[in-house]
Amino acid sequence: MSSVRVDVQWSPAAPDQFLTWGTDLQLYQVQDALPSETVQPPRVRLSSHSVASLLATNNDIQYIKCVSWCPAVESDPTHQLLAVGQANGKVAITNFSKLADPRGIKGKEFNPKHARPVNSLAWSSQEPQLLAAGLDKVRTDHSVVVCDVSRPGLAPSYTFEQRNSISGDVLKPLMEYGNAETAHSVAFSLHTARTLMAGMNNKQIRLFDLRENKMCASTNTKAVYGICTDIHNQHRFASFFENQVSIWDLRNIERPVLNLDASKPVTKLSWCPSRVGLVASLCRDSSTIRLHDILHYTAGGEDQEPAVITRSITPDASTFISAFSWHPTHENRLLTASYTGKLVDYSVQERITLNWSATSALVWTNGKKTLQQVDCTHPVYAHYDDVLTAIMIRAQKKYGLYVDNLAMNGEVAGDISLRNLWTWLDAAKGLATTGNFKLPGGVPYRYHGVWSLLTAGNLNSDVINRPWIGQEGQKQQFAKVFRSEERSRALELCSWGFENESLLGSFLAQLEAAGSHTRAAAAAVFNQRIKEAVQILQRGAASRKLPELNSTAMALAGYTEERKALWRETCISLRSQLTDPYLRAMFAFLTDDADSFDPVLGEAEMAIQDRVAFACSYLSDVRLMDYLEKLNTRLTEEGNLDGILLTGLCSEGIDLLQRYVDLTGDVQTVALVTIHTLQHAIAKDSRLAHWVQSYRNLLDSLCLWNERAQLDVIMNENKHAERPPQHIYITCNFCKKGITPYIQAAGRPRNPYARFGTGSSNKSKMQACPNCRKPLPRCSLCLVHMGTPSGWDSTTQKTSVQEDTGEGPASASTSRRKLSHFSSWFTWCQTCRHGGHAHHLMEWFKEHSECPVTTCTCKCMSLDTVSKVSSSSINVSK
Amino acid sequence: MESQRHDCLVKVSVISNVETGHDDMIHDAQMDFFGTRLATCSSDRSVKIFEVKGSTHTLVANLREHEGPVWQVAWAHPMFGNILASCSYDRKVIIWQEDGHKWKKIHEHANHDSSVNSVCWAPHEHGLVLACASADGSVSILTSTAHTWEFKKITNAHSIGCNSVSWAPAVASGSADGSGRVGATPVQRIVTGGCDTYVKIWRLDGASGDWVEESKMEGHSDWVRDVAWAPSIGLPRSIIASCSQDRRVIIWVNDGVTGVWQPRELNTFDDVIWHVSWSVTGNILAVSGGDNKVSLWKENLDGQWVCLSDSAKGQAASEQRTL
Repeated sequence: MSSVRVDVQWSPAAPDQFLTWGTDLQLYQVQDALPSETVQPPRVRLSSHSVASLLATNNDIQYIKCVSWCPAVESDPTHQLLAVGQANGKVAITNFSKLADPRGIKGKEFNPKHARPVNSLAWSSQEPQLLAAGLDKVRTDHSVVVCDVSRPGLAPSYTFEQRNSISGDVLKPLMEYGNAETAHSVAFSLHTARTLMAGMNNKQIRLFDLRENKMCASTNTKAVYGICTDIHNQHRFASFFENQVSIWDLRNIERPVLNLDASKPVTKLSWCPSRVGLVASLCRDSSTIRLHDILHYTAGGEDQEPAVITRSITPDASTFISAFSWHPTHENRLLTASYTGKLVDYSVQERITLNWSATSALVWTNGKKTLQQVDCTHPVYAHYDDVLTAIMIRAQKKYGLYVDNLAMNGEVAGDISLRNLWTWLDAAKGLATTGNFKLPGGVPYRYHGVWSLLTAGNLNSDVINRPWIGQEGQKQQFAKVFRSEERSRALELCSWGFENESLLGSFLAQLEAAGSHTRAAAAAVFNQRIKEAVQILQRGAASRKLPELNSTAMALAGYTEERKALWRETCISLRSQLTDPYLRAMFAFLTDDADSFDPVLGEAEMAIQDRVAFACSYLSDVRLMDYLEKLNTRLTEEGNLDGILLTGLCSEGIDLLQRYVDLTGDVQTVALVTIHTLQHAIAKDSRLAHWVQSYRNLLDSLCLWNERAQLDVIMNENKHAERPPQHIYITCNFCKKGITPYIQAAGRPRNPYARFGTGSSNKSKMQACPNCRKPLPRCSLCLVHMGTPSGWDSTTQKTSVQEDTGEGPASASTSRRKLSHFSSWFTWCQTCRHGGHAHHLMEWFKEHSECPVTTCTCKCMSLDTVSKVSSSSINVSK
Repeated sequence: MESQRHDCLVKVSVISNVETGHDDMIHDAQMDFFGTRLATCSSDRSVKIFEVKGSTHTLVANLREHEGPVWQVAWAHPMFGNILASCSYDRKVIIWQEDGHKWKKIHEHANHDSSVNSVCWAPHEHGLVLACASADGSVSILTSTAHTWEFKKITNAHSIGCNSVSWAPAVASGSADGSGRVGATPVQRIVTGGCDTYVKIWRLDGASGDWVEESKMEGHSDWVRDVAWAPSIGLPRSIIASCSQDRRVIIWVNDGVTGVWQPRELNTFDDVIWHVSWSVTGNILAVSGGDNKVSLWKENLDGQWVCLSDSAKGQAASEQRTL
């Protein structure tokens, strides 16, 4: 097969038909197909979505050298005329129709005087009856021949080479050029009518003007092959020679506009019909087609290197391409043929733009005019595991807005590690705010972690032998545990602070109630309460319908210290087959010989606080620190929020949070942790401020205004020092000075109303401007001058403020009351500027929709956006 | 045939399609801050604005002032109003503003000698500032000050041409106390990519008021097509993605301590890579290539970038979830 080179060409007449030729001419029809479809001969698969089936074969003509479709489009695609150049120099006009051509063009032939190959054929697109042929050299004949196929055939008197003629008429050359020369390629100019370009003799490109029948221009170049014109630029054409492609401008063919180098000899060149300035070249023995985008080559100016973007496409990597053809109308569509005859239908993809929107929709272009989009509401989006989706859902569930019960935030987050985090934060906040929990040395607790607590001072622990409880009838046994003040505090942080029996009991009961029977049993065993553990397991078996817990309880009950006992050996060998991490840890603990406890500590599925608490009880000082350090490093490395238990919310904790954000992008959680527990540190660490700011921006772009506002409220409550500056001031109509002098004089501790004698506090009315003493506007309903003392009541209620100061500055500032009750506030419509006392207007608008001012038709209430907000979204969770 | 085109991203056909009605190749499509408007631009010289409601897109404006293909559009932060910038082959940058449901041109910046390839608005902390990258090799920075527009130019930023520009997120050290006030002015930085294969970082020098080259990053071997500075949520780390004609995507990471940009190759693709774009939180990178594939990438625990559409997807996703 490889001996016959297969060439392809799309039909100009039908967009779904193309021609191949090797030994014979074949017309194919392209059909859509599913990728899954099995394609059997005679149909051949072109691509994942198309197949071709053979429509017609034309094997009248032998030794085909080159083929060219006539550009004049026929209504019936099978009548589309073809010029076929042969190795013996004949050029035949044919088509795939079985019928005779009424015009008599089909079957016409051009016969040269001397047989030699036809190198190139070209139709004129302006006068589609003109056909040019370029032939090899012969001493006594011309090599460039132009015929008019529509001219009536010659009379039989034309006797030349009559023996070669078959049936049809003989085409007589209209013009002939290049006597005893070689024509490698021919093409008609698109710019001027009847101008032919020909690459000749390996050294020249010549322009022939057919109207005057003479050569009008010539240039010396070796790039004489494959001359092709650019349909988007009538002055431009391209040609090639060996490893070089040259781009020419007809107006100045002295030298090429541009030379493009190729790594291998070029075999074919073609301009893309659907895109400006794109030329495709094919090299010998190559499976790639190179696309040269020369659109911007002039942009760089003369001194700079030409800006040509070259791109390689590989329609099929498995074979070398022998030929290709651009689809005349379809966007960037190519058909390639390989040496093995395999055909590939390929579309060259244009630049795809691609953008994420702030609301996590991904938009990209598909083809020329269509955009495609996938956003977070789409099920596919869930596969991307974009943290923003989770952030949005959590924000809507009021994640982080539960102030009093921080653990609730973990509940709504719906993520196990976040739940653990918030539970711990809740506990730690409890410890920090009650003030009863003091670290060794009387240091107040500020969200320390186990690690920061233990490293604060030198650890010097005592060894205590703690008795096993509940083993009646046996020799009393003891477990070696370590105790120190730091360790006790650490245990408390792990919720293992069992100062007395009842605390342990309630802890175990809690776990049992939560259904964690195995965890409770393990905790009991770690506190030397085997009998209790056995009972817990039994209860677990009963309540959770897990009978295998009974057998575990049975095994546990048989616990013995005896080193060589059968119980011990069996437990050791079967331990690894237990699926529950707590049961594994429990038996590992009981069968541990050398007090190494490595199997227990390495039980990664155990909750972190249980592991740390266990370590704090059973590891010596050196080993404890070693263990915690390793664990701490690893968790920080992983950005695992469990590590907060160790690091607390000190600088190491912030590093851990940072790592967590780096890995997950979950800025929401870290911002909320900051707001709830680290407000005091924001000024010290810019990262915290950045997280909070980023999260607020995120809420903005997600249009979660209510959540954002509630978050700001929480932030300001937690912020001790400053309040946000006032945004709105009411000024006097006459003097333009604010009528709330207290606010403007904030910070000056004086009573602004002293001169009005407002000693009787709330009852005071202030109906004139405090500056110019002109009256304030009247209420449109009661017609009384408006005006009440406004601002914070800090001076008139001194006594209550002093009472509050015991609870700290934060509570004092929130307990201050406004001077006036809401009902007597100023209020006005933003549109018509009419207003009055708030409670009067509220009464009015219960029954009316228009403004209370007589001639005003403003629909004040319906313009108020507050009235449109659904009541559910205003509810601020407390 | 069209429906077969997005094979890598998803093998489903239910992704919503937007028929833009452009007459020629669309070059860019951008959603605004709230995801309620979509701006598109095309070789047909027009800029179109669509109102987005769910999956319906309504054309609200068709802006025809450019005299050549329009390459890119960019929305300003909504705190400045509804403002859109567009850049074109006609060497102009046009800034549009919505004024009572009408879009009009408020400024035309025609100070480049060649096609303007890319525009990008600065983070709002810097004010209304626009960076424009041009094929003449220069980058201009337009600043709006009280109804007038001033520009500074980085001449010869990239020889042969500059293809893309992206702003660094505004990260102020010790500022942004949560009330929106900014203490110290954050440093203005941009990253540019050009035909000279370099990715360069520029900083506005506070003292001189000039833009100075801060880093010149070598890594690509062909035209740099697009650069994208990742949203900085993982401060102090800075990340930039760049893609090139050389079929590679490089992730540049600056740990914020050493100040050195470490390149890491995301992948070598089968074809040219046109665009890179970060998700809002900066943890997913979308990449579009000449093989007509849009792929999504995520960094795993070991700092390796994994393709979410690969078969390894399930594994990668579960790794993320175990955090």
